[in-house]
Amino acid sequence: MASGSGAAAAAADAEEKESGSRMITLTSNEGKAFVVTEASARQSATIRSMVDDGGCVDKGFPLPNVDSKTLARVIQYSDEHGNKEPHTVDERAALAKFDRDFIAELDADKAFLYDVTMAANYLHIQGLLALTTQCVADTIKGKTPEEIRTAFGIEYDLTAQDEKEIKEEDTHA
Amino acid sequence: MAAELLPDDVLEFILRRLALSPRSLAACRGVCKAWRAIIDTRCPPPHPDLLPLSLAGIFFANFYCPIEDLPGFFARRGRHHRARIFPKLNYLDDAPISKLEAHDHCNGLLLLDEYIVNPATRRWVRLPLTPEWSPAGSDLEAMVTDSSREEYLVFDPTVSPHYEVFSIPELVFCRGDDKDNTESVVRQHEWPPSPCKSIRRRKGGGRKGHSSGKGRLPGPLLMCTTHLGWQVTTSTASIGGVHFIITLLDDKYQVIKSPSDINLNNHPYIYLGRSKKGVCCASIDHKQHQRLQVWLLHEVLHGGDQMEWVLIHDVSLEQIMADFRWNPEAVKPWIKHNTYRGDNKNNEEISEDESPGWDSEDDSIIVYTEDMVRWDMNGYTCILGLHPFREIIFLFNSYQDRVWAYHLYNSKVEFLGMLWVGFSEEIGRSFSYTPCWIGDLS
Repeated sequence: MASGSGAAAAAADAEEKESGSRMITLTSNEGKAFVVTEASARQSATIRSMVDDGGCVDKGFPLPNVDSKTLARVIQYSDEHGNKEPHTVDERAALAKFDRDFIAELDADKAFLYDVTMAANYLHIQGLLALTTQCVADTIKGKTPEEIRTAFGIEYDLTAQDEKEIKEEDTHA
Repeated sequence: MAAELLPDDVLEFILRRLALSPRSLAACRGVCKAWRAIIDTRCPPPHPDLLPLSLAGIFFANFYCPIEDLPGFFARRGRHHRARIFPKLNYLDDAPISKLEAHDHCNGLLLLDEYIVNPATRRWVRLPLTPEWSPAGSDLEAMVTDSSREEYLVFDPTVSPHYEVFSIPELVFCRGDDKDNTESVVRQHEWPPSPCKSIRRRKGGGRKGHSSGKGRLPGPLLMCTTHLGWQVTTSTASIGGVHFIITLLDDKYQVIKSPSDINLNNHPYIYLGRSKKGVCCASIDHKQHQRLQVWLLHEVLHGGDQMEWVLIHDVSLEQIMADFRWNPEAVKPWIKHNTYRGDNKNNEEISEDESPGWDSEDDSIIVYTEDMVRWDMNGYTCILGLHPFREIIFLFNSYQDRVWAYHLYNSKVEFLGMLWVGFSEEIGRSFSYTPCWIGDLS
């Protein structure tokens, strides 16, 4: 590195430190404000791109598709993943354990699990979306169509013709 | 809230996670109409060929259709269980339609104006803009009246996870009184020019909107044609006929002239592609009773240093089609699928007719029945594609809007379907699409 750039690098460092400690306000559809670190908010690709595009960081971000309960849970995830970067094996194991506990708790309340899944999708939080969709997919595994309909509260709307086609297609699959 | 209110894209994420358990996926298809539709149109088939080993249909560019620059997709109707393809390009973020013109296809990847798309996995990346080459400053400056460029894609997942995009300038020369001199100057410029640049991109290495270099071959090129890793595409040269450029994946280039027995004065329709036997050049000469000729690129010496074209087929299509009988009322097994992002459904696509239709694996000879009529060959026939794994050539007649398959080894003809491409005589470009289910582009 050229000697003259030391000051610039220091300035960039300072800026980074500053932006890392910036706080961002997220507002649920019920108008409740949640103040989070920028690092936590950046777990969401949606918010990240708004911040990087020079969006209104000071004014905060209203999230009309997310209610307070869901947002609080999403923030719990993004705080854990955004605020500390796991460096050691132990830290990584702790994060994995957090994920397991987090999803186990959600799994017990399916309706809430779907809400969190949809929020993760809306906010583009890849890790959380992978976690929740995998959990939903695991519920499906090993079930018959009838059991899946019951589990998901889905109405049966297939015609006899549909059933026949499905049967035929599956034998060819 | 109930799971049935999960939006389609979230359901798709969930169902895609079942790709490795086909039994579960099969159960999900029997849950309800909505789930079945998502699995059939958005999830990978349970046992896909990961490598591009099957023909799913034909992508084509409408050069002259004023309504759309979107690539068209012509394939069998209904749900094809083995190779579910989603020709609809609605996942490309806000891409203007004018940026979606198809330029090339190679082993499952589609090169559009500014995008590389894998229609099987629906992964895509945006390519950076390539600077225009200009003849200014070179000794060609005074002769070049116009320049444009053609872009080509090279990708072979069996060799490398990288793909390459080549941008090759095409120059139009003034043909004044001094034509001979122009030709001699132009001929001094050898192809490929040195240094030849192309930038490799690792699949998965590019981010959406991320700018990294795209290959550009600097220098004047008379020709046009490439395709690589033993695939080829074509366009025509301004001087000296058509040249086909074969580029090997290890960065070696070779210029191969078009078969010497093509009569370029008759302006035949020329198509380069890969067939079961290898790289083929096919041409239809309309001034000679729609003479169809097919050449196979033959390696004279091992190592690919010396290549020659061997004529493997030579027939009059007029003669072949004069003997053909067909039933216009019969099922049209292939249709043009909607690639537009909007929800306006293609009526044919959702029609109840889910017959599996034409199957290129079927070798039986068609038995003519009484209700069959003559084909009545009329107008201009062009080549829509070569079947990459069979000895079949797909033909298209824009006057009659008909597409049919012609078997090279037994001269069998099969009607595939109707295709309307606008008020043009020929199709712009067309590519036999072989889905590839591996690799992430983003």
